[in-house]
Amino acid sequence: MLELLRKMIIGREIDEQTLVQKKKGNIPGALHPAIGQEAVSIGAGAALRDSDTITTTHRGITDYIGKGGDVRAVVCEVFGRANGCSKGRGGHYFVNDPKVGVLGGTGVVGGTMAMAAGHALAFQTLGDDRVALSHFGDGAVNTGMFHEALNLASIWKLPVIFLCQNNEWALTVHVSKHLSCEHVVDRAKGYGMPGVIVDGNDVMAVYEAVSQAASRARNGDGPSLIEAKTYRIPGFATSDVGGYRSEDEVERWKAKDPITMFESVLLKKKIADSKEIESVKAAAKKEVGEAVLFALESPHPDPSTVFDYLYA
Amino acid sequence: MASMYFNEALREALQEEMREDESVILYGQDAGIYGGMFRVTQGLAAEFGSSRVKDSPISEAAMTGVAIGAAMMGLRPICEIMFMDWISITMEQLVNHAAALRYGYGGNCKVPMVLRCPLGAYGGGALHHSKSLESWLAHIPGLKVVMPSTPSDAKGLLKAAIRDDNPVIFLEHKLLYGTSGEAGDKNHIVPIGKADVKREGSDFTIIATGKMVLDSLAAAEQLQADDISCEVIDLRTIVPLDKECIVSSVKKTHRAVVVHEAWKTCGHGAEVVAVLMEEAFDYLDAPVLRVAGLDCQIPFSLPLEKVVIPGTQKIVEAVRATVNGD
Repeated sequence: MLELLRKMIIGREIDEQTLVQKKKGNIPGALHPAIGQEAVSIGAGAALRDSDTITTTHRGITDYIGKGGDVRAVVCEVFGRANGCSKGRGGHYFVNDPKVGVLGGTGVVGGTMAMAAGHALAFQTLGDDRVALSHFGDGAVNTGMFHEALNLASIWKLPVIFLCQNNEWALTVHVSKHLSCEHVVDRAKGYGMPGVIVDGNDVMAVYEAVSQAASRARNGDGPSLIEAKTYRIPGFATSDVGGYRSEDEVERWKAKDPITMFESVLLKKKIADSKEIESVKAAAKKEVGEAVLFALESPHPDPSTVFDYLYA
Repeated sequence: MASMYFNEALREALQEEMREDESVILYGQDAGIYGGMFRVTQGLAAEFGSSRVKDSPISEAAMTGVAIGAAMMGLRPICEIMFMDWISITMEQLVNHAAALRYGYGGNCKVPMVLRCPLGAYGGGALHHSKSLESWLAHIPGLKVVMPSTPSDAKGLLKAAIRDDNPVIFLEHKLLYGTSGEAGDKNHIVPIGKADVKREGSDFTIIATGKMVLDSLAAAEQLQADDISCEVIDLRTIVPLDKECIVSSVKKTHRAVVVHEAWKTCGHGAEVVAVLMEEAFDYLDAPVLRVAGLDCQIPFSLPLEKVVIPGTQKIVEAVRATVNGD
């Protein structure tokens, strides 16, 4: 349980510390922090085995951490360094760590849903009991790919879990303005798969829902759709200038911070005392801080290697 | 060695590779029980079963994405897009993911997939069943683009494409399916990236792809009567381009035309011409002309289609114009 807390804090710290570095001008491009959504990423990752796989999004760093991705490798990648998980080719968009089944991120909304189904097709064809999980946001459910991937996964009974992190905002458009139904899972019936709503700020609830979907997939019963209701506390990216949602709304969700909520659970159930929690926090902060320093001192890719990894 | 049809040669390649390697699977619209719109996959579902030969829903984008994911996880998927016109629907997955992810993931995965696409005008296919869009794909770093013209090359190149660790777009002109020839045994592999001199000549180089290779050979035959000896090069692979083959031929003949069915503007023939400018300029005695599809949508009416799609006569005229112009 403390491990779940630790990973949520690692994800939070990577976002917060890289935002600081971004402001200092040490990181090129934009960042897409997932602050407020950590319970989905970490709960989902904890419910899967190392050999299972996930695909994720442009907001995928904490998903990667949840699945066991290496902290230093992703931090170095955010800084575009040669020792990053994409050797400086992809940045935060393309998080990956095949050793723990993260393959991987994308810069395209809805871009990796069919890819997860493809992982699952490989597992099914090879006859092993691995499962694949696709993380995506509420914006992605209106792409054609959502329809195609869920339908195909259903008719082929693929061992895949579609996990929608409904953070209420597709960039600056509220879910009530872009979704044709009340809940994303209302669409599950049409694809002949179970659709489950879960409190996306409750890491244990996410863990339970993903565990059930994983065991269903492992048993050969096919895909599931899970909708984790959560909220994106920061802007859609570091380029966000705001003006589309109220401070009140953000404050209401801050009061439901998944990390604080989980700390209360741990204290209440006497799984950990406040001293232990503080020590986990301090260690996580230190680990990420060291990774940031390590990244800042790491070399940029050698220009002569620009074509490396284009073709196998 | 027995002669076989082009589509049979493709089927034999699929069959042999699937027998050899259990990680090879295939799917496509009507590719399973029906055996494919152009009969390429006929009988394969019966031999290999529905776990390895599947009918897919009409979901080109997801079919492509599934191939990417399955390839990453150790399969060698072959996906059939029934008409190349509809590759437009796969482009997001092809361009942003199939071509890109190995690079984006810093070499941490491979994407050994083949996308087979019938292409080209075949008489009345009209705007959505006739296009040759290979130039569009040739523009994308990370893809390989292959286009055979004979049963032998079809078989050998498809086997090479399946064994290749990169995404390969494999293009089959619909009018070639019914052509026949020897196709080689199960060890017959044609390396990707090697052009082939289909006819040797000393006065002129015709550089062509796909069905246009056959038209170029017919043109060369006609031109021989005028004492113009044409070398016909079949590129076979558009990406990677065999620059050495075309440059060395032009160094010998000093004149060339480039022929393709794809639209002329920004067609891959322009790339071939640019390579000749960069690497063989001093050897050229005349401008290199392009014989290509006219920059027009492909019409249904046969007389109109014939205007848009190049053929033997236009190649002959281009060669004569080049010879007379110098």
